[in-house]
Amino acid sequence: MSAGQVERLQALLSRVQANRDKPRAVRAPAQTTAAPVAAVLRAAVPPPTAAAPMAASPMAAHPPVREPSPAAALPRGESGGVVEERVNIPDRVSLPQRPATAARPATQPVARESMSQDAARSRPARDRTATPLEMAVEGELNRPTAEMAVEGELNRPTAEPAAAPRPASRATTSATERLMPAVSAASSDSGQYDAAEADLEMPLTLEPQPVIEPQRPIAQVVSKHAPQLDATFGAMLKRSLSLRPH
Amino acid sequence: MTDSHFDPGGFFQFDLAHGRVRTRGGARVIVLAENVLAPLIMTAVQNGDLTAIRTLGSQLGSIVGQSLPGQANTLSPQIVLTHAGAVMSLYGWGRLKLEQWGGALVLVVEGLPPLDEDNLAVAALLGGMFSTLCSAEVACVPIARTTKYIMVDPRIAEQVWAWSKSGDNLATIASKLTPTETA
Repeated sequence: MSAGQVERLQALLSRVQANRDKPRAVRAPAQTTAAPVAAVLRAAVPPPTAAAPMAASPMAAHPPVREPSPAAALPRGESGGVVEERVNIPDRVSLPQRPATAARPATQPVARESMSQDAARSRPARDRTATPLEMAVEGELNRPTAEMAVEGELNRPTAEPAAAPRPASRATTSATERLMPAVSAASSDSGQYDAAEADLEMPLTLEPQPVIEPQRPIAQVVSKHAPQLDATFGAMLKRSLSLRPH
Repeated sequence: MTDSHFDPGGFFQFDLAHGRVRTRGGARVIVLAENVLAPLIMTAVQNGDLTAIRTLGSQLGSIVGQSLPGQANTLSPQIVLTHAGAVMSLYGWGRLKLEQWGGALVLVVEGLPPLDEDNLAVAALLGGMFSTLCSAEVACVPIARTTKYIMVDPRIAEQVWAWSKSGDNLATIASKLTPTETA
């Protein structure tokens, strides 16, 4: 037995011990309420028959809803064939009807329960003489690794650490959290949140501020040519007086 | 450069007891309204004799020359223009500016009252002033429908004036002129 299996076994033992220490009055309602819910859900889904194989949905128990069509506005004498077909075969008429949005999640617990029943059937029968601890250990050890990993993901606490550093920008924060899920203090081996580890998982991102719009042009041409100014007024006047028509 | 600016303080002396107004150099002047001066100038233009206006310009040139720290030909254009513009403002002949179009010097006078249609009086005034100031004969030819005066040799003044009267703008006139060796 490897060290990982030993640790997993210890964790399961502690969980079994904790469940055993809980008062039975607390567990009883939870077990009793689960069965009626499953029974209601099971009753909403009629068993599949050869006549209506596509009616395996919660909406199958509802009366068929006639689809609005131009033929409905016509007198019955003109479209009697269509009406007669709907009356005689209501299941076919209700086939295009999609289940309501509120009733859709009800199918998931049923499916999950059926899967667990199938898994229980595939498992070997438990030894009736074994202690609850041995039964629990046996059940956990016989479970496939993938199933345990899925359960570990579901049981992972989602509370964020209190001292987790926040990135500078909101967009960067959401992106980082999507890529790296938050690690709680309980999931740590030491039970204490390591700040250095948090820095590695959620780095502080600094983004430059947007460049402000300059009021003056970045490049400005002051003069294309050097000014042709004489040093003295006499030189300028002399050149001006030397002008002749050409 | 303390002498780069013209000091107008105490330029005119009003002797109220004797009813006289004198300049800082001692010349006696008479203050006239522009609506009185304009007909006099129109009469001089119609007679073709602007000698009096040119003489007034020569007096202004002398005042400018006396206020300058040295010979006008040896000073920077900025200093000469500053002093000449200050004297013209003191006498109420508008605001003087200087432009350079290629090799030609162009004087700009703004804020003048309407005197004659072709601005020949102001041209005579400027010619007399700068001729005295620079010790050279200078003709300031007005550019039609503008407040600009091109400074040329008196021997080509008639030609330039003909171009201006024919409708040539300043750029066209300047392009028709080329510098020569002899001034």
